[in-house]
Amino acid sequence: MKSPAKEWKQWLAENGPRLLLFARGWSNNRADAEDLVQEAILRMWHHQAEKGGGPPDLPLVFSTIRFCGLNHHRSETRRRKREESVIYLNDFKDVWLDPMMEEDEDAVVLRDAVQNLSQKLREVVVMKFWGGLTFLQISETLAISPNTAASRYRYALEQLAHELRRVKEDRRHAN
Amino acid sequence: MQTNEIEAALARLMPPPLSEGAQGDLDALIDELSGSVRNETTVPDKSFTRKSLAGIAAGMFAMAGGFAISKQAEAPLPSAVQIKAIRPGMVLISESDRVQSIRDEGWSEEADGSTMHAVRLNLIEENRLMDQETGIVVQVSEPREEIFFTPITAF
Repeated sequence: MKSPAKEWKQWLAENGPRLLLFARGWSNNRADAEDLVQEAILRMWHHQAEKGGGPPDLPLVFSTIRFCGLNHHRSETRRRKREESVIYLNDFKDVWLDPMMEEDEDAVVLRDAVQNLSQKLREVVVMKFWGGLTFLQISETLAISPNTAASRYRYALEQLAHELRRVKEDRRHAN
Repeated sequence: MQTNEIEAALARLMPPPLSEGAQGDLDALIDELSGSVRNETTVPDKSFTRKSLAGIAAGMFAMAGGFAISKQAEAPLPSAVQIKAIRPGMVLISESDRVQSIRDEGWSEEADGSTMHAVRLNLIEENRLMDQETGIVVQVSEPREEIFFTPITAF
């Protein structure tokens, strides 16, 4: 029988990147996203202790990350209101997704397009495509109907296709 | 461009892994947490509740003919009522208080010269809260320590 620590580490090695990707939607940068994942794992550990101590189901972890993210977002909003003079700079090298082929221009365009999707659409795409969740699981995670989850996914793909077409046409005109 | 073409294009993107630092922190966290689980197994009876411990302490107190003093080693943790007040929209749906471990601290001498027998308890208070807005249920675990002092009288 595997030790809980070994089982969790193996589970984390498999799911860490997709959790990080989802957490990015609730964080300003990679480090904050990693903190969010860590907070969710801590909460999940205690939650799972009553259920045998094994790793949790992925939809539940997405829910927890979202919950933690919402809490952080609320406190962050309050903090920003207090510190309006602070200017936040974007780290343009801090990307959410890595193209498998670096020279793949379409993949780079698509990556930026995914990052620029609205949060509602992006979290459905992330959970469906990289998280491997069903629309039913996504609907339970986001407290929406499965039809709404499916509609958001389709709409997101249409937006991505439109963006990709637009960039290709711009490129053709430039040549 | 068709939906399946976009999905094929998305397949060329992959989420980056956790950074080495974050991975190391998580591994350390898991090791630490699994260590606390092992401690839990040292408790002879998990159904041993705080009430039954209080009963034992009371029994010891009666036998010693003295009095038992309980003090919290850490600052008092927020009660369920306080949690409700801290987070509007969060509803307390269950609460429990369990003993994780018991350790005999032996005898200690007080400033006034009296001798006390100390027993240290590690307790975990667990509250399950539901966010009314999202329906998400979260369990909050709050560990704390308590030390029971029983006066040792001359036989």
